[in-house]
Amino acid sequence: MERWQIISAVIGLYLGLTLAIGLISGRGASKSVAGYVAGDRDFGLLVMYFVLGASVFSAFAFLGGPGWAYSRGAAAYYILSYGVLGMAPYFFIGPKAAALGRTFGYVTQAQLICGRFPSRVLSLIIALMTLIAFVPYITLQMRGAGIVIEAVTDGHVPLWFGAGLAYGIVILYVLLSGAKAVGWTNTFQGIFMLIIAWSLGIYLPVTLYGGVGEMFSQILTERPELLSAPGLASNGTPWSWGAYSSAIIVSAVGLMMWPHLFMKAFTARSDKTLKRTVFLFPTFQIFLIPVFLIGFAGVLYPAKPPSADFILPFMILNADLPALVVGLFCAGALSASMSTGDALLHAAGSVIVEDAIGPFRRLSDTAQRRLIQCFVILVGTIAYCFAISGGTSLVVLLLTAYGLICQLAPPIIAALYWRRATTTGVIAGFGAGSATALFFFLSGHFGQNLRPFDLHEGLLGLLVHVPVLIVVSLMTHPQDRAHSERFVTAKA
Amino acid sequence: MRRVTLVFFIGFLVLTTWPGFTLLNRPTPFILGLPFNLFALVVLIIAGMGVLFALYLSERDR
Repeated sequence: MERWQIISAVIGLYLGLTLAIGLISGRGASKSVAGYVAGDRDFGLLVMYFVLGASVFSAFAFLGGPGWAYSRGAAAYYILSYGVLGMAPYFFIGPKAAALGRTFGYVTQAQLICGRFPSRVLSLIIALMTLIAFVPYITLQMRGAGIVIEAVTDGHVPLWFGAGLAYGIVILYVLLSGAKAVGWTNTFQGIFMLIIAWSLGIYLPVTLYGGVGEMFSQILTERPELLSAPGLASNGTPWSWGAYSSAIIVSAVGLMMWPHLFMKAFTARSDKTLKRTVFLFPTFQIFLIPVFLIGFAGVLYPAKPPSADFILPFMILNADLPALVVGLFCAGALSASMSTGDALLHAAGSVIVEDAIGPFRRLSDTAQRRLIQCFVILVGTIAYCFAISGGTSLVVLLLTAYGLICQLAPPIIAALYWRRATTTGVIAGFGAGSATALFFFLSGHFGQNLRPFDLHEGLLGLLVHVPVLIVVSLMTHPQDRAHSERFVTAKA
Repeated sequence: MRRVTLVFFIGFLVLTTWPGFTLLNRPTPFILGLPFNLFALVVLIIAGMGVLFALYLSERDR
């Protein structure tokens, strides 16, 4: 049996196991929308921990993290810095959102915002923005899966087939089992990913340099600029402190605002489960250390990968590992991609139906569920077409999306904590913040960087968003006291 | 405990961004094989976990 065939067999086994877990996990779920979208609000600690951890650590963390450490050095530290900072507020917001979800039947973020600030237009805008953010995100996960499979099988399994196979399986279990499948497959994939990351992160520095400390000593001698923050920009010049610091702030604010993550508040069995998940989440953050070590191990390696994002499969293939082990490492990378991709696909279908169609047309439970499944297939197909056609415009779209997603934070905070906030104030703030973020992003994209101190456009958007929300709310008629009270006093 | 948590995470933000991080931003000495600035981030993350755990314990029976 040839080497690539053994690797393919291991990948096939892994995909088969994932599919089986996905299908089996959905058997006990109810046929209701709450069952399909929110897993019957019955996720325990183990599943919640992995569903959040594995969804956060996507192909970006597993492939992009080593790529950043390899090409940009200490700039990668920003990825390590924002996770705990972004997750901590969820300790308070999560249980409050969950309580409101149980009371009013919410299963999405927009339902919560528009429950407090009734507006069908706002719901539609949030749904469209979510979709704009999700398609490139899913595409990058699919492309990541295809790239890894193609690389480790020496091109025998092409990108289009690898991505199609991996995501055909994802769509199948998401379609049939909904949130339960996402939860249990993420648990399996999360465990797998952690083992693989730690094994490879320790193995490479030890075999190539004689140890982690020795590796960093050699890097300090030959490439000292890589070991001091803010590290390097993508073009190899020094990165600015403004860009580094604002990337941490925007990512922290935006982390739990991604709809596929925020929605998980509605899936937890209890507040205790949610709070435990929050304080255990930093353990997942530590998992970035071996991921960075993989990237740093490539810095002084004589051969170079075709691009920085290929450093993980490149190092795996160049480490003289047995085919079986290479197959397992490849499965670890696939876990990272699929565990995020499934949550995104599931959330995309749910958000379109619940937030874009639901407010305008009443649908039965069965019709909603069927429609969500149709949109899971549709969004998956669109993303697949982008994935196999390639192109950098998707990365551009994804970067824009981060600036937009963090604009969901002020409406959420206002909905849960500020009685005086009004619907007009929230829409005005949201519009002004998003437009500002988009303006600064496009100015940079078209070669005229107008961002002061190189700050992230998302932060600039927030700096406009918050004052507009406050001023317009204070200038408009306050909401009915009993209505706002129900949200602000919801038990956290 | 909520106030302690708030103060801690404001401190966390200050220490991980400019200019706070410049206090920790040096590669040496290596601790457990990691550059000092990377090790300092790991310590901050573990401390963050400890603070959140203490907050959870303090509010567990509410």
